[in-house]
Amino acid sequence: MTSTLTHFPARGAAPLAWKYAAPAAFYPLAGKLVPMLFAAAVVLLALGLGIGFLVAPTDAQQGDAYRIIYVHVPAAWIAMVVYLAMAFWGAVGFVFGTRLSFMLMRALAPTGALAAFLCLWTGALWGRPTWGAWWVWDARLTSVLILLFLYLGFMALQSAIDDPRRADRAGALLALVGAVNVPVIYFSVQWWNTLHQGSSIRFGAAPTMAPDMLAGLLFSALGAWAWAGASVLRRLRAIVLEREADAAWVAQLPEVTA
Amino acid sequence: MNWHSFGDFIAMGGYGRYVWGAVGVSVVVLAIEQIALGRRRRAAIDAINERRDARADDGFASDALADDGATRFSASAGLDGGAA
Repeated sequence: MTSTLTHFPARGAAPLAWKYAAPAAFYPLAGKLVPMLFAAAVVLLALGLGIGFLVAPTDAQQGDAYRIIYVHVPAAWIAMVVYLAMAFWGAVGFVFGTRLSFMLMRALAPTGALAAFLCLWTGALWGRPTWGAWWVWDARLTSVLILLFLYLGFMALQSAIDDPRRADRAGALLALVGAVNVPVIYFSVQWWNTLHQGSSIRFGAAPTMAPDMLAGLLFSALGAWAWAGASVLRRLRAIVLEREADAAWVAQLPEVTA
Repeated sequence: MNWHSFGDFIAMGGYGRYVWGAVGVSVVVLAIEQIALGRRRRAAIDAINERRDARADDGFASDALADDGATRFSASAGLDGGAA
């Protein structure tokens, strides 16, 4: 398998985005980003969880059970946005035929699936003491469960189809169709009368949280994002090595020749 | 600071097992993901080296191996851990 994009001369006029669309160019860039993202994740998570677990006050209604929010909400945001990113890169791969877009689509799926699982798991542990139930068939919970199944279905589809190009296209289609579910999750607490509480942080409205709680949540979320980004890039690098195994630039990599 | 002692912190106002159950499983799951990623990378590099060595041993076999390569690596899609 040879690259089509690397045959284009890397002229200064070519947009940077196109240069890094070539796996050979993106692989080392991702390798530099991974440790930076992990470092940012450690600092931000220490700050966010430190504020959330040590400084932020106890909730008047939910007691200290509410502190699950510092894990639950970042996981929920990642699960939703990673799915949209997966659908986006699938669409880019469809339109431009760029292999790296499809590889990125694949690299996103397991991280998104884990985030969806953690969202449900932490949600169950939050629901039990506050609602008296581990699980209810509420619109918010059900739509997130569907999100987890979409991720798992995507991954099963990828491993079931032998031809990588066909698997890419089928996966992109599934990702795009399933993306409809994400706004359903987001608006479910407004559209339906759910047991799940409404959003404390929304676009276009002031947050309804104590400032320390909000700071803890935002730093935790940023840290979780950096961690997820590093994980996706690590997976992307492994996928590049798997798929470009026969490329000359791969054979010359220090980690391969060593 | 909300906590009077370490035991107080662990108790989480009586919700300790829920809060730490959420945090603990998250840490374990994220650690497993990183271990799987390391293994998947290792497996990919090992596979590249094996193929190169096979080619060096017998120059004539290289074409057959290269043809097989396109599909050989697709099986590990999706889940990490790959051929490990």
